[in-house]
Amino acid sequence: MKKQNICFTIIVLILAAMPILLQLGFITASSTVLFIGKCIAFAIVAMGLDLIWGYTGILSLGHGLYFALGGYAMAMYLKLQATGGQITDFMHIGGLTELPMIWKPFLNLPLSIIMIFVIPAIVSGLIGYFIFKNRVKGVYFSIISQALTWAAYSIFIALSPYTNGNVGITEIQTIVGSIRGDKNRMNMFIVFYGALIIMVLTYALCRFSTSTKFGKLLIAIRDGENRTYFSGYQVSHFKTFAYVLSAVIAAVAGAVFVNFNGSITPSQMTISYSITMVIWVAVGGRGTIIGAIIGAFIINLCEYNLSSGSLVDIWQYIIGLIFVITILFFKGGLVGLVREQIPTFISKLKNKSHAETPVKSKKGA
Amino acid sequence: MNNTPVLEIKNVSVCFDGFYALTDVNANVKRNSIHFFIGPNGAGKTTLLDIICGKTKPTEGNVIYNTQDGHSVRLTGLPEYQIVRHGIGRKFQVPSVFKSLSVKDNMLLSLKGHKSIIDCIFGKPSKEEFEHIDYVLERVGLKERTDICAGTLAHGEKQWLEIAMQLVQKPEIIMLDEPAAGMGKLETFKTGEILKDIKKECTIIVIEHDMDFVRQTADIVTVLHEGKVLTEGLVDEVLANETVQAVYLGRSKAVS
Amino acid sequence: MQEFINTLFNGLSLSSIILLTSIGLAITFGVMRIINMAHGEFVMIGAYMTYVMQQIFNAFVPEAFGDFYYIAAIPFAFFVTFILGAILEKLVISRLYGREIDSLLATWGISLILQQAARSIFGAQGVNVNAPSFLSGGLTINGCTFSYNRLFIMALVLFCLFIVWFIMYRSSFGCQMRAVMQNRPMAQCMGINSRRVDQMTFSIGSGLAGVAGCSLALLGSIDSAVGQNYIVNSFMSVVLGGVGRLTGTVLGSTAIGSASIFAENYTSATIAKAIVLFIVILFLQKRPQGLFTIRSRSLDE
Repeated sequence: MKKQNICFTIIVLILAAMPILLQLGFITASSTVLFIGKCIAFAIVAMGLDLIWGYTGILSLGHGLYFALGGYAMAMYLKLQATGGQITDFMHIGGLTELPMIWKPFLNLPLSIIMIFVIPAIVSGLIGYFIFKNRVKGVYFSIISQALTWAAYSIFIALSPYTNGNVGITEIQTIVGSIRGDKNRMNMFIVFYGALIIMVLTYALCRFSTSTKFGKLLIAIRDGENRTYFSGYQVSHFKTFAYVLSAVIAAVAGAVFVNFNGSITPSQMTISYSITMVIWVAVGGRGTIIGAIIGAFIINLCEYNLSSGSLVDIWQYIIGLIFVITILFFKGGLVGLVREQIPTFISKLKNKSHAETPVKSKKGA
Repeated sequence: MNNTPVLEIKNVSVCFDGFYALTDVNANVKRNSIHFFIGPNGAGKTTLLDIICGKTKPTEGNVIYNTQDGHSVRLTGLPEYQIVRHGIGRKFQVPSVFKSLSVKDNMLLSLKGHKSIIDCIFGKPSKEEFEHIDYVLERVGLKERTDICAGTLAHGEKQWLEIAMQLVQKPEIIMLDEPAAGMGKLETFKTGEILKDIKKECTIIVIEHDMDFVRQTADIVTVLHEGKVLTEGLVDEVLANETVQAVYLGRSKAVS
Repeated sequence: MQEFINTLFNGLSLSSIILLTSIGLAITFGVMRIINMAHGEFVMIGAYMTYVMQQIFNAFVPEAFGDFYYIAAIPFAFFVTFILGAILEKLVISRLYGREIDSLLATWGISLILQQAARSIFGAQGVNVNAPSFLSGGLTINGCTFSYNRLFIMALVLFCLFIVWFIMYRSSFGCQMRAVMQNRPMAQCMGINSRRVDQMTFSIGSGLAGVAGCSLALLGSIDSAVGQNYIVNSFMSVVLGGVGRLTGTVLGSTAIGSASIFAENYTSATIAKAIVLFIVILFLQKRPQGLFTIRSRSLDE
């Protein structure tokens, strides 16, 4: 358990050094730091996903929805900052003459931040309540969450006067203003360290909640849901709570993401984007918070380095293969590999060499 | 101590897609007794337990639970976690413990009370509760295995753990579905002694095929056959009954 | 009235396409408890095989017989996806029995690979097949037009359903298949080679996806995402129908297909999606395991 915290501290220290390295000139492109900022957002959503999948055993194929809900909430605020509270171009084109009701709360920052938490909480709460109440579980839940995401995606595209359809909300700056260019480097550092702090807080929240009886109960639900009912727990409430918690974490991640990405599009709420998040958790190691973080960073850094130029085609094969192989042979992901599979492999090797000697001596005799 | 039966099963029928698993079953369970339900395979014993603990809803009939202080609760229609909170615990036929948690965590989760989300996140078990867990684990002989992952326990030990998980809830009624299945003679006997010991505190309902075990522990035996109550009474009476021998014991004698 | 009949026809047409893509899913999920996320990609492969067949006919066969490429494409698509399904089963699926959620994830990885492969081979742009001349045009009765290619798809669905029904309920292999579906260990004890049954089942399921791809090729251009457009609906109809019964899947797809078209008629296509989804969730409130289920006594499966 302590090892996890040490590992996490090392990751945070490395991340914290990034802006300094940029300032000192070891990293030449500031886009690298922006990309690592995005990875921080991905690590946050991965932690949320791990809570619901790794711990509770509920595979949601629709966390992109919550990620995007948080992202849109943030982007709407930032867009209104950019337009000075006036209605946007796409609303003009869509035939609107004044700011729609749903945009009004995003004129002010505290209310926008509240919305980042409240909207996904309500959506996931309703979905979770109705689906878990009737003990829809396992792959059934996965399929329904997938369909929900699909429906939400098409609704977001259809409501283009309000959401700018396929294009999404673009041309936005960050919460502290522009971060592009050398003269705004201070802003970039503020946003970067802010994101890092959110990641640390999320980690602390996840570690705390999984170390309590609540976390044990989530594992109990994963192992034997009915047994948990017969221990006197209202399991569907727990599942809904865990689902809402992880949805809110995903939304916060989405809000962080927008600051670095400078735009949000409906493609962030597609099924395939949602499953990509599952890949991060699976590769890093489900059921451990640190695994989710490691997975999100490793996969995204690989993608960043490989998916440029001619390698872009190959990347799809690589990620597909990595995923299949992880699921087939390394159920615990990288963390499981380091923690269990390598030690057992080593001890097997040792045993083999031990076992071989007596056999030889017997033959000799 | 009042004399009303702790559990009244009234005219219960269950119909699965046209097949009657139970037909008009009536039975009363006396407080602080060990009540056995026996019967050949397919007699509806497990279904009856399913109905009492809320896993299956009866097509007709009621199950009434009378508490210590004279209240009556209609169990039929309550969700299972409510029934458990009323103090009715159940051990399943196939041992079902939380495999990736330690023995101690299994017990912690089973403690009486503290079952809301807030309690689970912020609550800490008290010293008395830890002592109670130790006491129960001692009683079933798992004291030395507290920190072991429950999935690695042997089959018999899992059975013990599941019984312990019921005991630690301080239940009013414990239902055990074949507690001696997969146990040796000695372990079965030990189980029986434990049951006799705990019946001072609660009522025990057991399904079992092992006749020696029935003779050793039972106070009252109800024989089910093809979804109906065949007879009910004290052990010796029931086992001497000719119809019972014909449908059930005749076969088991032939085997032994 | 005319409008109603047209809507009904469109609804049935969509239902039949959904049904064609979900029969394969239903039998693999029902028998093997494997969620095949790559099923949509098998549909895509089937569609591309139709295109390949057309190119072959264009190159080697006299023009007079050109239209017959489509007749040849159906068994060809079935055969190719059947073989691919067998390979996939051998390499991946066979290691995933009893791990439903993992099977879903692993096959999704496969679907990524297959999609990219399709893009590498056929290009990112969609390709088109020319519908054979005997399927162009339509039947007009009282002012309602029933296009031949949609009628053909319906007939194809009925044919596939009949074949599947025959295999499942009237052949000795089907009997083994249902035995494995209901109680795998027992079936193994009775001497059924459940490995072989799984392999055949998965291959047949994939083959049916290929046939579904053939029918999709008639309706629009083919690209690497063509299967994705139908797969969500197919999954929903399998969930709605419940596992293990052909009747459930038929009813499920009919319900979803007709509901989407009728809802689309009164609102927009996107709202229709949401409405259908809402209905399914509402329905699952009443029957969490779908329309048809097989009861079981064990606590946690």
